[in-house]
Amino acid sequence: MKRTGVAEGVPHLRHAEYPGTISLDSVATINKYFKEKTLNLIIEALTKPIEKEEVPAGAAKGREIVFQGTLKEVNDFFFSNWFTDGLPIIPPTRERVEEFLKYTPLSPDEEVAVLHPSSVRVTPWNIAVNGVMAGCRPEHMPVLIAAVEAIGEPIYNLEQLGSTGGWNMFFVVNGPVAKQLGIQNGIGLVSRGANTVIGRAMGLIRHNLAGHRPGEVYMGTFGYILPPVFAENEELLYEIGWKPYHVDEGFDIDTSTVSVCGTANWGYQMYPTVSEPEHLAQLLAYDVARAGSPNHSVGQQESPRLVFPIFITPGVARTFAEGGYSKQDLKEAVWKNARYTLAEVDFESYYGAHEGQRQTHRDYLKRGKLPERVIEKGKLPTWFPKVVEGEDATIPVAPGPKQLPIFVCGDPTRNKSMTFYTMYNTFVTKPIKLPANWDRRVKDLRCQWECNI
Amino acid sequence: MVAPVSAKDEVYEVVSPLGEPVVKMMTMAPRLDTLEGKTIGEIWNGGFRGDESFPIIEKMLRERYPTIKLISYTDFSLVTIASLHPEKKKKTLEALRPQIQEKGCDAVITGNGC
Repeated sequence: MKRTGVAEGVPHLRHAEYPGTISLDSVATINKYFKEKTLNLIIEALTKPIEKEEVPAGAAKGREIVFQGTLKEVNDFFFSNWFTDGLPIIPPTRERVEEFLKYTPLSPDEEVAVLHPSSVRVTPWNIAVNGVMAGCRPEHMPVLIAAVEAIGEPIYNLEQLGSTGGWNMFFVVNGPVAKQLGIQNGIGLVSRGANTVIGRAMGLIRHNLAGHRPGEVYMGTFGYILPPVFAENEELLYEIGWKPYHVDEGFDIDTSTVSVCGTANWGYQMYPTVSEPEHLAQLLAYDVARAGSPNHSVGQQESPRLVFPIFITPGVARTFAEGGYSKQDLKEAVWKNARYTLAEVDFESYYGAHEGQRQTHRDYLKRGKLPERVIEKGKLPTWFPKVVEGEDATIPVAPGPKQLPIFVCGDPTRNKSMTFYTMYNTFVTKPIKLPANWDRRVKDLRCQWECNI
Repeated sequence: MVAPVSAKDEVYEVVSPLGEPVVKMMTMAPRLDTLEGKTIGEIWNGGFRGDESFPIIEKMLRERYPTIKLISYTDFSLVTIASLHPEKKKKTLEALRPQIQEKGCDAVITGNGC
């Protein structure tokens, strides 16, 4: 908490800690803890004089050599100074960093973004250091820079990812660069090729530059996986008459982009086994509803940050396309079917309340957090049994189909779908800025990163 | 930590992975000499049972400081900013300032998170 205060310009944030689990404790226990500890801390916070200045965390080191040592000694130094994600790193020497800087048209000290909550001004130099550490190749720099630009947009809400839900970033690379760099879109894609190291680099950037350090402002209750990096099967998309995500968002086919959003989960993978698009869309809607939370959806019906990214394999996409569905048709069909009953809303909002406040949908209505217009009767999802009239009211999982973006990737031989979920982020897409002679310089790179599976 | 197998005798000179914060530190208001006779506001973010804990804080503070004046969280706007758009977040926080001044607060207790 103190580190968050420093990042916001408050050098000595006074706070009082509660020693229990306030969302679960009885009123008697809360009284006991306040009497024994928290009240005294509140009084101290209000009355104890501020005596000395504190140095903001993450003070600049620039290009100064901060350590000399063998591979093991460098790794021990980075680990003990909390500069890593716990995995071994490649030593970031000046020479290696400068090699990365050759792959961006930006100057080394140019501002790419200011990341939060650390309020650090991030430059290509900083990005390159973390890219080297992660094991990236110099050619990955343009992707890393676009990814940092994306997470630096205020609308993305990077600082909120540190919330206790363990919200993770994930990235989608579209356009020619994905293929040129060997960013995978097939079987095992996030764990293969360039995907893994680019994701790891973004995790290190979040850690070292955005200041998301465990226990400080990186509060995921069970922690975080490495940020996944996806590419789409663009050849298949064009073949079935659909478009890749970046083209849907208004970018040119030949422009390469990085898109970022967030997720609280690595989803369960459905096995669609029907070929009628209508039933297939219902199955995806079932998965969307399961991936999210009625407790979150009830209070976020006007939030563009309630997003359910859906990943479907090429075979599933082809089935929809052959059934006459465009991608937009699919998003609308899924949105129409993905709903929560008010019974689900009330159960989770009371017994598993977000931020510990036990509520029902009536409390949200009363506070103006749930628009009455979204509650509809007679719209029970297909998978629910029929109930008596008056108990069949539902709300949609998200404000509209736009919050259900579709990505086509994964094993082309399998019938799979997977849904991510966030309530804190929108998608942000940035074009990738390439250095001169890019095509020539990466001509033979793809084959070095592809696995022959 | 288990480090990778060391490259024999090769020594690396490495740079820092950290960057430069751009935020300017503000000058904080001096703390109060006592809470006796002071006006303290309560601003709630809508989470973690503040509607139950603020009354407990009020009761205990009044017992310890009989002349303290406490302004309940119900007299201020509810400030739930975590998932707001940055501009809306800024406006919400700016709207608090006149409320605090109008009520003559010497200090406020706010936050309530984890």
